[in-house]
Amino acid sequence: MGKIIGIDLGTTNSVVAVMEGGEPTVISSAEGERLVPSVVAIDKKGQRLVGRLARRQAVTNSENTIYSVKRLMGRKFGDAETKRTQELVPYEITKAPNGDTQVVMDGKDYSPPEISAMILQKLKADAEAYLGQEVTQAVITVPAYFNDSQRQATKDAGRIAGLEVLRIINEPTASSLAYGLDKKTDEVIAVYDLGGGTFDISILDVGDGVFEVRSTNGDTFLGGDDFDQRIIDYIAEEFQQKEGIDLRQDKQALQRLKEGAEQAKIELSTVMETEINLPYITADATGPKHLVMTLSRSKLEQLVGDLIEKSLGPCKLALEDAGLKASDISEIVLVGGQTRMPAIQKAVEGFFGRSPHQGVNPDEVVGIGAAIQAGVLGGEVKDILLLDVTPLTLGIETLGGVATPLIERNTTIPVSKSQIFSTAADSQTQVEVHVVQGERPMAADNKSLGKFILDGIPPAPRGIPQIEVAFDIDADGIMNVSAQDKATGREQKITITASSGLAEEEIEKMVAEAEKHAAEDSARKDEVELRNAADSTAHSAESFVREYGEKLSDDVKQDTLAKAESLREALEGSDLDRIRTETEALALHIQGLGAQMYEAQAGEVPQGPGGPEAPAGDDVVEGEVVEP
Amino acid sequence: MSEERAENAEEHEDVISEAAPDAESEAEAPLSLEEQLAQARAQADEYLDGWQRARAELANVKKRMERERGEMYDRTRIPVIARLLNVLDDFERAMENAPEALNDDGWFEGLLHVQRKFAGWLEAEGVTEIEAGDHFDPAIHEAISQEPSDNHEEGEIIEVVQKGYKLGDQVVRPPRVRVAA
Repeated sequence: MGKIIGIDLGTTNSVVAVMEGGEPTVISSAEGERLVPSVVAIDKKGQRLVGRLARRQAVTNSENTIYSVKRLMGRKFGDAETKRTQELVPYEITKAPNGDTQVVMDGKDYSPPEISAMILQKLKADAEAYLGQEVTQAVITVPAYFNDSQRQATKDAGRIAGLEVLRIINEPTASSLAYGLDKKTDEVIAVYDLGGGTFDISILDVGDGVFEVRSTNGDTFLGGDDFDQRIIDYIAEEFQQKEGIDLRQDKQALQRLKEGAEQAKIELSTVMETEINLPYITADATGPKHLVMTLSRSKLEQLVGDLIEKSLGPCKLALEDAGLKASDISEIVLVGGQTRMPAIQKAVEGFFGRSPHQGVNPDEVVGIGAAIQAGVLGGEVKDILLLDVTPLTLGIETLGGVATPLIERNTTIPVSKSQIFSTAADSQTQVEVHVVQGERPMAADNKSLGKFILDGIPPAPRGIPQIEVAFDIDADGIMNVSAQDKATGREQKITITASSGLAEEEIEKMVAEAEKHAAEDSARKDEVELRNAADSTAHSAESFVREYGEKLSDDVKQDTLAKAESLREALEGSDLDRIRTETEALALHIQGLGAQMYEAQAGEVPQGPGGPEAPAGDDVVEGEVVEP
Repeated sequence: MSEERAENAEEHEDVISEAAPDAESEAEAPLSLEEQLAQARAQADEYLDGWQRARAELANVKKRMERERGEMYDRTRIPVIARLLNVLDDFERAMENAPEALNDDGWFEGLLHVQRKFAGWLEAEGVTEIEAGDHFDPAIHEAISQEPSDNHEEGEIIEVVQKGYKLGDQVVRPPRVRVAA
């Protein structure tokens, strides 16, 4: 059984995706792109072109380059949508004998499914190249408002392309799937889909893995392209006022304008102001002319404000048709690249009164949902195989109150991780294992999940004992933490049940907190590590003197101990520079003494306590010790 | 439009999961030990098979990632290089528009050196110009206009308005051309 692919067959762009290792993956085309233009053409040589290549030659061959064919799928020639499309496109749209719409390409008639099939064929080929195997089955998405003949037309397109279409699912359903909303019960979802050329709003009911469309509405001629056009017109008009030249008449200048406008639009989603900088955009008798303008986010929002307003009208109607109020909507999903714009997110949030789901690439979310459905049909998404992730980092508290991570956040479970730790003080006979959860570097700022003590550790110099701490999380999120003394085999463990009730918002808050405090937390952690190292070094120096007292002169002993004393004194204060310099100096000093001893006593190999480094062992982490 | 939509929407609900093989069997009589054993064995086989396939898929994905690793490095560089090339375009435009009078100017000479340095950097990074050739080919070029021209045959390139570049075999951006009608 081969893989079943999921396809978002869009008006402007199409996406193909597949489940791999339980995760949906968007497949790149042969041209290296994740979005394939839904364009088909036959060039002057009679060669058929699909996707990026077809788009590239569109201006030289406009009559034989078919785009936005989705608008014509399953439609009769007399349909309003057909007429409107006919007015806008340079290729010929005619009436088939049975009254259906058809297009003319290179003098031949094609039904819209035949054109769509060409796009599907390319997506199929790209998928096969990626997977290294034949692909014969697919799930394809359609707008929720597609009628039976439109859905059948889509299935036909699949068949012509050599694909068995196992399922046709609604686009808003697919995007909800991508956000895992199929797990919800009795909730109402609103999907706001603002693509390149069309806008769709859908209201869905979800329960027990069944999605029902309550209402849909939209504007089939409202999209991101309109937003771009506003910017282009604004810049061109400003320039015309200043220089008296309309750049839109010059194909080359217009091309640069388009790119500049799109680039500016994208940047203004993250910054408040950007510059559109197009030197040598044109020239007149007085010389070269440059277009350099700043565009602020607020100006952009002014330019497109009415377009955003325009999208809310259908939202209102959709709610009315469903007999619902905005407050009845429990989940909102954003689809389409244009929804990256902050003003749109705000408008949607303002309209529905809650924040929309984000996180999945809005250009790919429908394709990803199609892949998930394909995965379910292919048996790859069995409930028992649905794996969770740990939402937050798990670790233990180590010397100085540092949170030492053992399992990173977003690690897929089940998982096992272990690490070797040691003692902080000489003759320490027990260690406390304090399990913490969170992203902050200091344990006290994280959530405490539990603690236990492992005792009976044979007395030894600090840093010598090997305590293996192991974290094991099973598929249900139940965590077992154990600590075992490698020398005696004594072990202690606790079981921590999944920290249920950590809502997504709480998790996001904790991550945000960590980011906010990142700088100061990092400084604190550095300080703790510095102090640990200082303490360790002072201890080493003192041990060294104790151990090799007979081999050292009194002067050297005094000097070494004095240095250690000074360092301990520094540790009581807060002059970090002093601590750092004295630690380095003392460490070098001990090394120097050690080297001298080697030279003096060639043949005798001193066995040391190991100094500031932890004993040998691949898993031993330097300087990580567990407090008593 | 709204009515048509409403009708269509109501008829087409989506059921995501396959029918779950749930505890319907509990209603039947309890199975004999042999039957339970057979069931348990079948399930064990299924699980082992699933486990092996998961392992295999992981191995295959890893292999693919290894193969793609080299490509990935280039792929992430390409958008950055493409944006830098936009600036290079502007620089070249500036140089082309330099007033004649500056030809012997020392300051201008410095700019020529900067231009060469830029070119050298591109070469060092493995970025090469895509030779446009004479005839339009969508596999290579992107047409920004089609214009009547007395001096050109149909399909011939009138002018390359933006140079194309590739990184190794991957196209960073195609040459943008004006094509004769």
